[in-house]
Amino acid sequence: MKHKNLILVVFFLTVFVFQQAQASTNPSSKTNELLESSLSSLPTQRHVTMLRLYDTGERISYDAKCTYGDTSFGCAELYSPGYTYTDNPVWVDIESDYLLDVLPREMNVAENNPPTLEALQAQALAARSLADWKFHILGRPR
Amino acid sequence: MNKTSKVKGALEVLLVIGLILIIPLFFAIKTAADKQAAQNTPLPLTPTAIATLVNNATSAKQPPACTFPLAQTTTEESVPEEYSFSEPQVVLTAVQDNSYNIVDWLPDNQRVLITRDFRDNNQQNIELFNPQTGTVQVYAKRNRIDQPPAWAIGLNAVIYPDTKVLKITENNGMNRPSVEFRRQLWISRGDPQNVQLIEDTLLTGNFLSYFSVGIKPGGGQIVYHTHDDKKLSKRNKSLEVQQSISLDISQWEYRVRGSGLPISYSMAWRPNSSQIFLYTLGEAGGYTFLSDTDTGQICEIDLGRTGNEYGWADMARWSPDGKYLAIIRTWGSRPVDTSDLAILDTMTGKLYVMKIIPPDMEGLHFVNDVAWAPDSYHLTVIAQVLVQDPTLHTFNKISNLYLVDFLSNQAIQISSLSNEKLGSGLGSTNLIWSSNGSQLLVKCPTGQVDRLCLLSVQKTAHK
Repeated sequence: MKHKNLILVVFFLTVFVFQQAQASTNPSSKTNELLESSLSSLPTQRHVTMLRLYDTGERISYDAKCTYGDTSFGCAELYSPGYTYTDNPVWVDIESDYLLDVLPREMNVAENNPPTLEALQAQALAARSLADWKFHILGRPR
Repeated sequence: MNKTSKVKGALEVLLVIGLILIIPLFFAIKTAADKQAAQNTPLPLTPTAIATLVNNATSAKQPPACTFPLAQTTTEESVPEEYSFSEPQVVLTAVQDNSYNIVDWLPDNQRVLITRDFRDNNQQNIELFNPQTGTVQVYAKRNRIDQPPAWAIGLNAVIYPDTKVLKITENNGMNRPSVEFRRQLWISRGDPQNVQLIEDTLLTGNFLSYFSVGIKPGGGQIVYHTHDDKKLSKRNKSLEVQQSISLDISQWEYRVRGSGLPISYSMAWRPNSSQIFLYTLGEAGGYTFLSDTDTGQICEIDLGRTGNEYGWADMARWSPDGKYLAIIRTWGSRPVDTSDLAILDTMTGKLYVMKIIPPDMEGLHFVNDVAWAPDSYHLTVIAQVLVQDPTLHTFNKISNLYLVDFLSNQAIQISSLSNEKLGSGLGSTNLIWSSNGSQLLVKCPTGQVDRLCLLSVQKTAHK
């Protein structure tokens, strides 16, 4: 009886220690925790100045801000009604505005090879991180 | 069994029971904590929009390739001529951060059709500017759009498209906004308060449809087209309506592209001919068609490929004699990484391609603008190299003005205009020759202020 109880105690302790060791050494679990932690610290909106651009993506010689209804490259999608904000600079929602503009261009969705959902998710993460980094480092995204 | 043993046994049993209770409780708490953390995290991993592809190839077909009458003929030799250019003289300086676009030099050799954009709103003036006297006459005011105005010689007037947006309704950012707008064509004979409406259509949709306008060089005919109408509307030099011709370009828009939106074409009318060159931006398919305004027939001009991408025309200019078509050629969607000068000989079909700035120079190479000399053999070209500064994450710009003899593949740098003092943005018009070839007007901003500069040109036959 005495030995049986001891064996049971040792068994449960071993299981407990093993579980804890697994949880602390699993790299994906740790990465996800870090990721969640860093993403939750990102702001959901950004204050952005929108400028007219040349076809090369270069700013025109003076900083010309997009104005309401402006269809210039840099201000609106091709044939779209134009720059729809009444302000400039403007607060832009990262999730439902900024990434919607950025992702289709970065992923080249116009071509014959549509990206997978996983690829879009990864690109969304990268685009958001890059924008955040550029805001912090450069004070603006390109 | 003694008393001590009984106590020890009881303690061991309690320990085991305790462990059995504590371990599931530990995992239950951990799971609850994970769920709470997940709820606090925003959802950046799930994009809210996934673009769908529209394959127009199911209903559209590729038009026949253009053929050339002297395709087997040997190519032409250069006709050397010597040009000398004066130092640039500033003839117009913008006020209040306005900016200029050069459109056309009128046949009187005196006045230049320009547009003036206003920085703080979406308005544009259409003006005639005399570089010799400095006088400016405002012809019209409109909303700033990409479609340029045109000078109608016979009418002595400016014809210009306009798009008046009446109302934009946002759809929570998830779908394209819907827009109510008027698509119009106007003519001005010099009084901006007394302009005449030629066409006016009230439209509603989620895109803007524009008039593409072409005016036959020398006057005599005006054509305009939209995707919606599927026809080419015509007016004679007295603005009288002529029989339109069927022109449903959509049946030839065979390439797969990301958006199913109707396409607006830019037009370049070939001098001494009924043909017009129709072209679109890369993101709108990058089509390069030659169409006959009498019959509506269409053929395709092949600008070559780079990998899987086809060349498209960012800008097209016919030589004054109508023999050559100069094209600023590029690939892919904007923002583009490179462009070059491609000149099509429409008699032989030969495509002359020039980079202008030596390709071994590090950076992104562009040809930004081109203007034909009246001799139809020489061109002035603005070429640019962008070199990335790795520390500042910006581009250093090297721009120069060149005289190009494409038949002998020569490009000579002219004038002291360079770098920041040369208006050089792909997608805008920066330079133009006077009709008699004695003057060259060039955009020459300082970086803060937009300006126009005039260069006198001397030409002598090569000895």
